[in-house]
Amino acid sequence: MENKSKRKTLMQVMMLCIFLLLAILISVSIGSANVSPWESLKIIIGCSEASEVYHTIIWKVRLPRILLSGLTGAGLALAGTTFQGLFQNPLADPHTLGVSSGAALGATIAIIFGKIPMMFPKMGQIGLFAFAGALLTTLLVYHIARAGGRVSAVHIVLAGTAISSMLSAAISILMIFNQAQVEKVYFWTLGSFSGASWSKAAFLLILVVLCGTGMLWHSRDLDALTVGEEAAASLGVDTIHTTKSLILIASLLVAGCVSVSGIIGFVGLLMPHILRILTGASHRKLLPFSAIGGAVFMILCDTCARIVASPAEIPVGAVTALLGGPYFIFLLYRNKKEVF
Amino acid sequence: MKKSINRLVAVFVAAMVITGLTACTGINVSKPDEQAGNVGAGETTVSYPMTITDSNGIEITIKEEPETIISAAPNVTEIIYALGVGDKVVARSDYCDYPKEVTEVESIGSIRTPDIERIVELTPDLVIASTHFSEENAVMLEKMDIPVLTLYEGENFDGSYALIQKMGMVLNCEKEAAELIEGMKAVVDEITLLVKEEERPSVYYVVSFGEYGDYTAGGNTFIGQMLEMAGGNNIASDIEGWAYNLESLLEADPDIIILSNQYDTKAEFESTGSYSELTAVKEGRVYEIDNNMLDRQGVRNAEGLKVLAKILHPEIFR
Amino acid sequence: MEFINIRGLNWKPEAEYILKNVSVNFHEGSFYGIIGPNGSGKTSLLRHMMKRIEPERQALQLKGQDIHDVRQRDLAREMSWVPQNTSIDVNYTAYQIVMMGRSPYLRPFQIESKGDLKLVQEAMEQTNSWQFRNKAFHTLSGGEAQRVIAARAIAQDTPIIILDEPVSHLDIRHQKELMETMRLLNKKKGKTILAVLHDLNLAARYCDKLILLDKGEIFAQGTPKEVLTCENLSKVYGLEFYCLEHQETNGFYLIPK
Repeated sequence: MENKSKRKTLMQVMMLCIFLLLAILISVSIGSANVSPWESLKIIIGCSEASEVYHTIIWKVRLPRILLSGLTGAGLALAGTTFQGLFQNPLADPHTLGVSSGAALGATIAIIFGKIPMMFPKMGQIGLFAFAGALLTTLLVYHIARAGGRVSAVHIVLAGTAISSMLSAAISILMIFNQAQVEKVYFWTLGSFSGASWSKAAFLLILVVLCGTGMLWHSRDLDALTVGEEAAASLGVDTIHTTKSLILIASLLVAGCVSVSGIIGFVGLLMPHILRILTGASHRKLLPFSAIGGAVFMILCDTCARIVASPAEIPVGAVTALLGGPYFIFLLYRNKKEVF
Repeated sequence: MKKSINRLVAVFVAAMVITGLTACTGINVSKPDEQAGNVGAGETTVSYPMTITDSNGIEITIKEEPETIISAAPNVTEIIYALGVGDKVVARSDYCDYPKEVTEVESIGSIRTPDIERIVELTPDLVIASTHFSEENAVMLEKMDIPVLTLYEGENFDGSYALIQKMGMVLNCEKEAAELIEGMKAVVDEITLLVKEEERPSVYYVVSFGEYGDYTAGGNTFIGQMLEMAGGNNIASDIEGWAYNLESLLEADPDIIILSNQYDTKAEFESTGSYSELTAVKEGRVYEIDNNMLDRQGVRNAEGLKVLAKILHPEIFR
Repeated sequence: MEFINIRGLNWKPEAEYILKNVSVNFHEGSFYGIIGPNGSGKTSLLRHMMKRIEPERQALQLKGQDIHDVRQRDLAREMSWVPQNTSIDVNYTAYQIVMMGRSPYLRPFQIESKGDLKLVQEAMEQTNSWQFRNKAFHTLSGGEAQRVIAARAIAQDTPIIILDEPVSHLDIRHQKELMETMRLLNKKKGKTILAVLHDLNLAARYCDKLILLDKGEIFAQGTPKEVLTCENLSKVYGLEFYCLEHQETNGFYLIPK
């Protein structure tokens, strides 16, 4: 039994990696600029004689964008998987705790109140403020949920929902008083990778690797917690400590993703469900597979966002919702009991 | 010398012809079967009460020459002052900042959410608004006996002229309006002539960039048309609307880049990621412009065109 | 040897005492039954032992150590838990559920060893659940599911196994099977069993010692014969009982009048 399942897992890993590679190659070869797919690939390998401009486009515009979108997809999927297990809630997603609303508020403040001397010019001011907003929100949610003493999944989710609403209201009020910036705020919120750069991609790479490893470290704990809090405790899981750690790790990852790309929905919600059907619920497999699945999905969605209405771009959050929404309804319809 | 004579001739001819122009400007002022007091086509005498159908299709009746006006749009404010009746403005929107005098005037808030109570309290004879002013607010003010005239014209020079002309009529400044229009037309004609034979550099107009997304002036926008009229080759002329993307910009690598002179746009643009790779950035051909001249439909559009032309063809204006 | 030592345990979460001055010692190698009416505090007592509720200092000791000082992970190596009812909507196989019983012994990135695999297989064979090990847990029947949970506790290989009304939802055959398995573990492997039971007859038949709780206090403790007297039972349950002895099983049966 063990050998057969090991081989099956290996096959699945290989397939997903191939999908990822294909997604990257397809994405690199498509775009608004008039460079043929074949030429794009040649530019990557380094044996192209196309003009400098096209090298710039491929290396400085497309590749970092593909990398960033892939990492964002991976990060959101990882966070969604973790939250679903942690809160035993199939509807949980990276935005459940209101971290994204905090990021949006930070970004709104940056957009409206603008120019402060930039400490990290490469990161982009909006990204910085968004990240700060997300982190503060995480701490806030956590403290409120802890108020009752024990950290309970239900309390945290409720606190997060309440805070999320408050933050959204704050954003609306800010927008009323700054109507000139409404469009910019709205554009940012919809989610887009148009501001992608190698430094942002590097930042997110480090975050995804660190947080992803942290989550994998807790994969057995997550399995136990998914079965039930009491069961997990009886199996030796320090539920309070583990819940705290996982919330912080996942929220950090969400903060990073949202601050570089705005609020993108559905990936974090759907990927765990889709992959669970493939790999089963064991987090040791589910986490890495969700990450890769999320990366592939996001790369493809961003490619659609770039080319469907070329030369205009549609916000990638709209694409994920348009693709994700119907599929989610289909899932609900099909698995009436087996939601998890 | 030649240019100034041209200009004078143009103004003189225009003054002779102005009387017949009413019908051609697209104003829907009169309805032949209306009650007495309407301005018929071809007549230049303004008389009150006046019935005018505004750009929302609503018929507004102006009982007598307005002495107190509230302007709910920056371009409207500019026109009012240019027509010489700026002293009649009792309140303005937050965004009205030109000419400078108007900042001394009280503000009634933003365009979308103006302070209705304050507007009512001021009992203006007329409120003039443009796009973004909500119909609901207009209807509400109408109910309280305050006429709200919402005006916006087609996005081109004819539209600007039409707007000025309508306002001139409503405010009993037809003569001043005509002069303004003629002045603008003269500038436009002059520029058109000057750049006709010149080689057209490729140009890109930055509406927004970077994290905010790449937006520019498409071929069917007013600014897009102005770029062409000023003797440039707008790289985005093949698109409609404003949405663009970084790849296409890099690929087109325009000779000249024009952006707003507000908010340090130029400094940020030149230092952000891939934009620094553009030839225009590397060779110092990124120019700023007061975008209000281009965005606000009204009296400064011709001036804006001239600034564009100067940027695109500096040699001509030496 | 005294495994669990409870002295003067009180628990008053709100206005009333749920547990009042409970003192009892659990010795290694015995099969204990905790019985009593609804609301007598049975489950609360168990939850204190499993540290789900933190007892007052000094009130509860595990192997001589105050339970406050015992880490959750170490606790899981000493006692395992079979709850009444497990509904898992998640897509784990029975095998994976049982393998979770090995987690107190495995480090984060450690792969399960051959020894772990063997323990899991043995536990599942013992509970007759090996044959559906690859089925998804939520597709199992109540009886099958309970056997898997019991297998998990067995795979956890702890000296103490705590069961909270483990057979309430099982049919009579599965009840017997599970209790027999527990008895086997007790007699052959020397495991200490602590079971909260509703069924007095099961308690009488399988347990070495009984603790009868009433309104949060220990009403009586001792052998089944000592505890299950008509007098005790009528005081606690408010019912009269017929008491029958059965030669073959060497046990006795209580039937309410």
